[in-house]
Amino acid sequence: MLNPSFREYEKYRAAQNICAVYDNKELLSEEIDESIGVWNPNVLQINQFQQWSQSFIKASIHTQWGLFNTEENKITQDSTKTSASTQLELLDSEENKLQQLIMKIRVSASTLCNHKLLNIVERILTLLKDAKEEDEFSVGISPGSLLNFYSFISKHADLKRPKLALTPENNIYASWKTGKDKVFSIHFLANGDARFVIFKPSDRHPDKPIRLSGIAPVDDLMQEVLIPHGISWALE
Amino acid sequence: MKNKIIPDSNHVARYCKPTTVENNEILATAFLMRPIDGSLSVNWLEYLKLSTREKEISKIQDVYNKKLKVSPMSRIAVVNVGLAREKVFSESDDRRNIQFKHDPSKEDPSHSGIFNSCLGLIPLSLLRKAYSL
Repeated sequence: MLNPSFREYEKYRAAQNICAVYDNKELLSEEIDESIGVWNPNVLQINQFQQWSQSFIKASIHTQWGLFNTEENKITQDSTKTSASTQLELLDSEENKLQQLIMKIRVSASTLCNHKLLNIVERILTLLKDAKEEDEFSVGISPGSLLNFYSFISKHADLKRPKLALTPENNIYASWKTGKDKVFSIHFLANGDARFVIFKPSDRHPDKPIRLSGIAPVDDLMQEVLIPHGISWALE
Repeated sequence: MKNKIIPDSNHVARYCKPTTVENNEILATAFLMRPIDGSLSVNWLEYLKLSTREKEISKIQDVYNKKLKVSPMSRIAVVNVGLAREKVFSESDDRRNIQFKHDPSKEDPSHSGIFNSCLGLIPLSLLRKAYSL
């Protein structure tokens, strides 16, 4: 018997949750008996955990090979010119990237015991499930957009947990709101940019809210856009 | 009648996919068009000539169930036409004049569209506010 630590268990759960969406047996051993092992770390068999660990390491290595190769992303945008089988292969490739990215975020959240990030991952998995239910042939969530979003929230850990949604192009849309007139929302594009909108009350004209919108590289968003326009209410 | 302007006093319903709703709150992406669409799909409620809003929504749910993969987590936003038009016109940076027009089909006689709503985030957010009020 093995008593895995919380972190190890969370890694295991991350893989299992992703498998639930994708039915990807490669990441989860078929030998694992869900009734005894999956949801109860205290009775997880050592060979079960080792099998999962090997799969996880394999996935991590793939991740290090270049999760978001921009050349590959370009191919997808041009997919209308390719054959149906090629499109399916590209979809598989996009889905693999997405799975690996979600697992990476989940593992990172677990390692840091970051409950806010874990909660965000749960929401992302729900969005992915809903998107796939609606259109099983879509990638569900744009990997580039998700990477862009993760890059932003991981750098600004003091932000509250936003409401999350998807755009019709499967990009991540995050929105922070308090009261009736304080809103900022960000649409994370796949190319490293973000569209933003800010609503805030005017100090001089309380009946006339200030509305701002634009586009900026995600790296610049906090320093150049959000801080100058006073979004301290969105911080924890 | 196709392209008939929907009066300001009337209401339209918008199907909001589960990917645009969190904890019962409808986010602005529910009002975002796909690039291939010419208008934002809605249904004209008063066109149905039913006696209550509940009956109108029930009828619209039947239509959605036939046309779409409806999820229990999806929601229907009801928007007052005049309020939404006024809010978007007065508060969007380009004083955008959105139009609500009837665009029926055989299977969906109350189907309508919001035209000229594309597509900064401000008009979208204002439409969401119109729903929230």
